[in-house]
Amino acid sequence: MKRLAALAAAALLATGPALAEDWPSRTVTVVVGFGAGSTPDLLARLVADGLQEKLGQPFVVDNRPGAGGNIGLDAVAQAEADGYTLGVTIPGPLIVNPMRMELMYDPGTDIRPITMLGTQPSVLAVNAELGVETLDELLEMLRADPGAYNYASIGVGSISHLAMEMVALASGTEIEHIPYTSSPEAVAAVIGGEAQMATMPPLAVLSHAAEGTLRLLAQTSGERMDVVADVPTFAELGLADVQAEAWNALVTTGGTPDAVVETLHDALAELLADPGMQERIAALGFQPVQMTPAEFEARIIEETPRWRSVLEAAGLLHE
Amino acid sequence: MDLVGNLALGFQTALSPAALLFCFLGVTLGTLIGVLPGIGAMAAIAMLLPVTYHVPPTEALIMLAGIYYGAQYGGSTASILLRLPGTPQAAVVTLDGYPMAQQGRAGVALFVTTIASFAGSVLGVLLLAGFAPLLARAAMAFQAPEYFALMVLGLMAAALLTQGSPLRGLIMVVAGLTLGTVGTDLQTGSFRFVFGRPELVDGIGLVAMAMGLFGVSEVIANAARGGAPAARRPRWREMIPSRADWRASAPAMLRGSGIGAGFGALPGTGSSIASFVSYAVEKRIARDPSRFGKGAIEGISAPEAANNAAAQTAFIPTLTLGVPGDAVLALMLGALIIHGIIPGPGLIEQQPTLFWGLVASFVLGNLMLLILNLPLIGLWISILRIPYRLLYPAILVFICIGVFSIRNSVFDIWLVLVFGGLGYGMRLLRFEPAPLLLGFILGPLLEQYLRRAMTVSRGDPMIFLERPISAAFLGLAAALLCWSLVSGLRRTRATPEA
Repeated sequence: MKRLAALAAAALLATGPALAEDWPSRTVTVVVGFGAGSTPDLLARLVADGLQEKLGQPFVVDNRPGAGGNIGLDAVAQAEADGYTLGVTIPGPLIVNPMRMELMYDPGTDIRPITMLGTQPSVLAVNAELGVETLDELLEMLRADPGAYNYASIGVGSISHLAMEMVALASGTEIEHIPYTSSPEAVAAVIGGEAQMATMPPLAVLSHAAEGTLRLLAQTSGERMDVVADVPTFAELGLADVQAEAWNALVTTGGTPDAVVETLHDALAELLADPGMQERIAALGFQPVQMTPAEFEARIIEETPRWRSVLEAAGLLHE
Repeated sequence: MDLVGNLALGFQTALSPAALLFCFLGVTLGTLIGVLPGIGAMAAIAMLLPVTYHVPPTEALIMLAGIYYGAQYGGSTASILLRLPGTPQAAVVTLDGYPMAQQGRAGVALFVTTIASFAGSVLGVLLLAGFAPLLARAAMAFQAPEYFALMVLGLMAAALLTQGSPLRGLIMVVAGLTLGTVGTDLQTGSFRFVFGRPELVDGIGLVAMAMGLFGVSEVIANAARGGAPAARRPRWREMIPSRADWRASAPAMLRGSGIGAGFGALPGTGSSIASFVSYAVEKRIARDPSRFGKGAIEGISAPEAANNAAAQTAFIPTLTLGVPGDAVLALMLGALIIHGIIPGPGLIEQQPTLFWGLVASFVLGNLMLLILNLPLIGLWISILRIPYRLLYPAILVFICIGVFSIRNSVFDIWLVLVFGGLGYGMRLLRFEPAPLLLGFILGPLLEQYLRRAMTVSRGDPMIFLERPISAAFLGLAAALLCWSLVSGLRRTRATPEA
């Protein structure tokens, strides 16, 4: 027994505390709070593959789906702050959900932002038979008959829900919310006529728009994005307050040493600048993005009040 | 292009050496995964997803799809031999499959389910090839009221799943419906019975529940009585079903395939309900319903055919509408998107080689599965010869691995344990798990469609009667209820005289 303990102690000494300068010297886990095959998962796998090649250690994707991504981000928050646990997240668990509910983690202290990887707009799509060609016509129709029309979303508190609430808020109209569980389901509801409109990720609506069953009226990003370059932004159409991007970002545990974050950021900067990588990210419907950890943090701070006011208007703010 | 031309194009694609190889890899892997309870096609496809970056999209999809429908073949193996259902569909097969195994008819049961799988798949593929766009349009006619009415009809089936007292069955259905309320209220986003556990926010895990209620409870029961009932060493000749078996199975397979194909084409209902409904139909029309639950061969052939037919027709909404029938199909859509193919209404015309190549590969893949699965029966049966004291630790390990692999959550392993204890308690009190499982599956869907329909109608319940399809389903459900009540009354009146 004693010998065993001595051996164990020796083994511990031999590895010693992992030095931040040596990072990464073993397998790095990339936690994704969504199921395999979801967009954050596909993006995480692309990035993990690239980092593995660049940094010479295995980067393994670990799917922890559930609770709208909170379970995954919680796993990152609770991990050792040594840079061996990374996470890919969307705005929900990082900004929106903490304002909606009691969580086990505080993103402000337990999570360290690294960079956005890609961003996508939400696109306001209406059933083509609704007879509106522009956002103005739609708003006019909604104002004339408040509460008579439905919009579909992919769930309470999702971007597709909150973006539509932003539209209602900014234009002073009322629209009835019908939540579904996935974007294909919500899009099918708009095409089938159960709802008349929805704000959706571009990939969910593009093929239907090409078929002529849906009409795309506006996109929720600050500037027009390549994937839907011919669709105007809400700001261009006079609703500057409607801004909601469904970005995906890389984060790690709060308190991770600067040296690790620097190494990681440098590798990512190279990786995300690679045209082949950008092409693959674009194929998932994203506009490739990269920023420094400081820029990303500033962006989170900038977005927070916007989400807060729409949550408050929708009655979803947690006291 | 006509159907013949399309199929010619499809077979040209699917018969290329690379496509054949990927198809074979897929169905072989699917077979192996299907046999391991709980380790679903989901985990395998997720692991293989990165590989598909480097393979042309058609071949990639042929392989992934092969895993998906291949897993359906093996799914019943563990339920028949060990009462270990990895999916709700397989849970239905345990009802009569496990009693058959205990009677020494495991070989026959496996043989019949393999043939039923093949029959169901073939019918499903035929529908997919001939009527995909048509069926997709029909599925679009189904909105919240229609789905709600369909779920009500499904709930009627629960009554028929019960073998003992109807009251006990009803209690179990209600218990299942109650457990189904755990999680997030879809309409408001508020939590119900979550107790601060993020793991419960999306509800109780279905697989953990099925494995616990059926599998773990069986292990406990066997351990309590000192081992499973000794299985006889089966001989090859005994695996071939008798002529009576065929006579009973063949029409059941046809009915099951029809029901399954219909349900599969409706996105969201999934093949699990199809299995439950086809079992209930067999029991309803059987001359002697009391045989069910004791090893009735129709009780395995119909749900197995339904399940496989649904697995094939589930590709219709997935490929033509971009609406995946379940999580695994959603994953396959992800694989297509990686290759820049966006599934949607235009897919069949824009990607004819992909669509028809896939359809043709289904035909070839199912043939491969038939040839692959029949000889394996002998191997699977020999599992029963392993002494139970050596077998059950392995069973428990497989249950844990399977349940864990679904979302990498240790919490789900505890959940299996809880449901195992609950299942054993239910067994001692002679409550059956199948109605509970059906209630659990249908409950959340029932609630979701009811509330959605009521939102659309702004609170007017007439929406269920104004729409013809929904009205017809509800009428059918009411008729079934009356029939059950009347025949129940007649029976109670007849008993004292007898």
